[in-house]
Amino acid sequence: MRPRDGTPIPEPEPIGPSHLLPPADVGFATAGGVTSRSPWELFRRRFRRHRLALVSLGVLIGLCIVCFGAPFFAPYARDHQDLTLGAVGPSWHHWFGTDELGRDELTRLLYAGQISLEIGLAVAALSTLVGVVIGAIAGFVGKATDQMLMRVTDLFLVLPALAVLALALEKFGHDSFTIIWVLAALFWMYVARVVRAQVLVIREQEFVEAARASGATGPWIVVRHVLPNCVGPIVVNATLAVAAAIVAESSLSFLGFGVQLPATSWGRMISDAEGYVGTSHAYLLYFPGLAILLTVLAVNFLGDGLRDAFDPTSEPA
Amino acid sequence: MSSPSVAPDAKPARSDSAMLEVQDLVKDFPIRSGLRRGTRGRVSAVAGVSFTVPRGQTFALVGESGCGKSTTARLVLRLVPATSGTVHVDGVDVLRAAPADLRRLRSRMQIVYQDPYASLNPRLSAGAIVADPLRVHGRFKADGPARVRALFERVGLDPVDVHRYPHEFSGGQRQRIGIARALALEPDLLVLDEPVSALDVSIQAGVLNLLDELQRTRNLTYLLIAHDLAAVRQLADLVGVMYLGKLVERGPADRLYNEPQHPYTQALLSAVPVPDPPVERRRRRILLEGDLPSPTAPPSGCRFRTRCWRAQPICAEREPPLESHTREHRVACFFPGPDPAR
Amino acid sequence: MSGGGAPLLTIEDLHVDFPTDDGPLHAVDGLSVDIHDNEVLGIVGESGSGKTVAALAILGLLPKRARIQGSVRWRGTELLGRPERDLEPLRGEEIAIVFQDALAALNPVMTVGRQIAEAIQVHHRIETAERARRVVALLDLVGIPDPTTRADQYPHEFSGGMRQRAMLAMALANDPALLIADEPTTALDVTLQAQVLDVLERIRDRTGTSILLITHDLGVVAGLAERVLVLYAGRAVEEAPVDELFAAPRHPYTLGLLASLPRLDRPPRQGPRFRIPGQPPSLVRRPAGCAFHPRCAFAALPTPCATERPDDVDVGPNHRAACHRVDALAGITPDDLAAERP
Repeated sequence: MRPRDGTPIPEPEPIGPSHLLPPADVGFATAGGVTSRSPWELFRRRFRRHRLALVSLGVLIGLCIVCFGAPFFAPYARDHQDLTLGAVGPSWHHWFGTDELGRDELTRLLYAGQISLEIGLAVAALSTLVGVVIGAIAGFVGKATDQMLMRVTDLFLVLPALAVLALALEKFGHDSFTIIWVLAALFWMYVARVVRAQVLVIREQEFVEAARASGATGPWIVVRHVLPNCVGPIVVNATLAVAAAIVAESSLSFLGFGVQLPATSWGRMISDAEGYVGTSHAYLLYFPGLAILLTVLAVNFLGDGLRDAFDPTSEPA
Repeated sequence: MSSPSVAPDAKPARSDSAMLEVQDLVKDFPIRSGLRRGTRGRVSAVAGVSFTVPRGQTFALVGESGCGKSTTARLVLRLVPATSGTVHVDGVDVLRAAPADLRRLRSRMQIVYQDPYASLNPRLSAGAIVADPLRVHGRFKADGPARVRALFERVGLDPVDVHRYPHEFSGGQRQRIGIARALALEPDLLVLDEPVSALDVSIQAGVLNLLDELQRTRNLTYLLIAHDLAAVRQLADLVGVMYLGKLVERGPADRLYNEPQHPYTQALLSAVPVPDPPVERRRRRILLEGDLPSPTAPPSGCRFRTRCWRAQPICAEREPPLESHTREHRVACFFPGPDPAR
Repeated sequence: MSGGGAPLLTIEDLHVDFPTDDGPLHAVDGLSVDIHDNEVLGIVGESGSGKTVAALAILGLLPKRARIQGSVRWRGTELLGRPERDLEPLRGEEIAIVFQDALAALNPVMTVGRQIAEAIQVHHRIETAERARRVVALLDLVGIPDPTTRADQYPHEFSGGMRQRAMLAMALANDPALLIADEPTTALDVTLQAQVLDVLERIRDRTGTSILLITHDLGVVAGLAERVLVLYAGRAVEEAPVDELFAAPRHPYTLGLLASLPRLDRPPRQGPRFRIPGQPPSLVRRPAGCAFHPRCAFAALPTPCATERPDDVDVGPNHRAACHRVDALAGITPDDLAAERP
């Protein structure tokens, strides 16, 4: 019997994600795939495996909802005071107690959370944007531009953050808008460095050269080929920036440079309750502190989960 | 090796005009060191390479790692700036073209890479990868998606898979995606940088067949970079052997494979295992002494002399030019001659 | 040259699975083979064939998440499931393994002689003078000229080829009964490959060490091996003495593989080269019945090839093939297949 000729032999289905295979040194090139999976779907899959990160994501989303939805969720009106009540501990009417003006702690926490979270998210977004642009240009263009941009970055890194913040806020005002800008100006460098490092690596990949061989120019290559491959570290860094910004804002407010009354943030609440350490009203310190702690922890775990989910080479938990 | 049978012409040259003409191409890399990053010396990755490829034919540039063949390929495409020399593609001076002309020229010459994993953007779908050159040149609007699907079919991929991502394809399929991308702009010249060396043996045949067929039907000219001498024989019309940045032998494929004149070519050919036990057992392998000399300090005179069993004093004094052995077959050696191992 | 008697290593019905999101990946799927004293067994397979996984399984070097079943016996003693401390004395002493990137294993700050001596010291207490003699003898065995002087040199003073030889010397330091060479020539330049093959030949001819040669390169196997095992999708599809495997294969995969190989000593055929259609199967969702049937020109469909896994069939002395259609292949040589239009 002779081999058939002409009859097309059906090609087997395209293979599945190769990065779920054992490491390359055991000699694999193909594996099974059931459905088509874009990198986004793969990412979601890996992320779902990281339970702590999922919980953290839920916590953060929950926090955002209750804080930004404070008018709906808070048990009391924002400016409600009860001077006759004074400061009392947690009770049925006031789950988290009240402060010396009889204002419900829980309500205050929620409204204060608006500021803290707003600052955290905005600083992360802004610093990431600036950092990505600067890092990408430095990494991709290289040479003199890179040197110059990196020196600028170094300059910003060297600035004594606290002193700069204090001075800037004294000069430009203490509203959250200014705080956001000033904090972002002190955060972008970290993102820039990470992005630059990634870009330096991606830039040498063959598919980038292939794009050049097709006639593509710098901006096209950066936007279409380089940056999409840097998403992982950028997102992780952005997440961590949220935590760092919240802590920074809290520290600022604690020191008195941050938001001023009547606006309040979690840091401000701690600052206001400073004198209650060791007293029966210490709860006025604990609750804002716990709020910050909870947020920061959640953000960090989320960042861990994101980092693992973006990294195709890490082992499944 | 058995005596050569009369090998039929693989591909008659369709036209006498040269598609690719390379003259005295040189690429030096400065070595920077020290605190001041001053230039301490030069590495001649490509030290004066010349060859001509007629339209519709394949020139195989072979050699081992560090010989400069990949660099030569990139110089031809001007992906790396050349130190000196000329490259003409269909009569047009590539190295001195203005940016606008270069962009147009780029659409006529494309490259297929060795590594089917690194040469495709993992974040783009296969269809987007193939369409990218079209988009860059503004040719996607008209009938882009149809063109992409047609390209998929042409290279043996199912158009249904345009939405899939590179990691979902096998190595051979990814290589085909790379070929489809290279064909998108309908180039005349394709630079193939070790197009099958990263693929399984049973897949290599398929990809080589595809390249062969494309060449015939589209009259493509190929500059084929390779280290696997056996695999390229199917495609090669002309072969150039590089060593340490220079061509040591150059000529029609049949001549080179059957009657190699340069000792290095002979060593290379003798080192390729033949899948035939009795034949393989009978063969005597030429073992080269020593190591590849450092490109920063190439030997005086003939660069190969430090490892050559025929080396004589003259080899250290003067560099042998690439002279004619026969009309088309050139060797750079003072003592060219038949292979002792046969 | 292969010894009779009890085999050194017996692999029986080995299964190795890796868990993945889509179900278990069957890397090795029922592999059985014996290795005897003083013989060279070549295991041939492409990517996904399971050859490297099988080798790692022998020495217990697979990652923890691997699920291993079956039996691997060394001189009668079961190796699978043994704790590390039982396996460690075996590794390096009785069974040595060299990997593809062996070069990276040489310590640049220790002399070569010292490194080999240390390899000996780990397993044996021998006095210094005797050890030094052994080191020199080993360097000589692997073909390093002037071994006494070379033993006191550092790796950077060795050429690339000599470093490869030194690595093999280290592997042989304790006179192992079995040397597992995993892709020893892949990714090496052809002239370096020749050096490695030369050393392996010397080992084969001058010592009693058995060699398990794992490669995808049939040319390498043709020259070195006495017996060959062909793997596909995790199982052995054919096993035969080397001459017979190349001249008269009885499994369609082997036949197809040999037919699609380019040969240096023959002019290329006109037209497309024979190729095995399709590509290696997914190891997670393997085809039913015979894993090769979707690509097989000889498959009898639907039964039995698509429904029943073929058992090993004896087709000659020491020659077995796992195929339902062995009879249809009798008398067909790779050249016959290659001459057909694909």
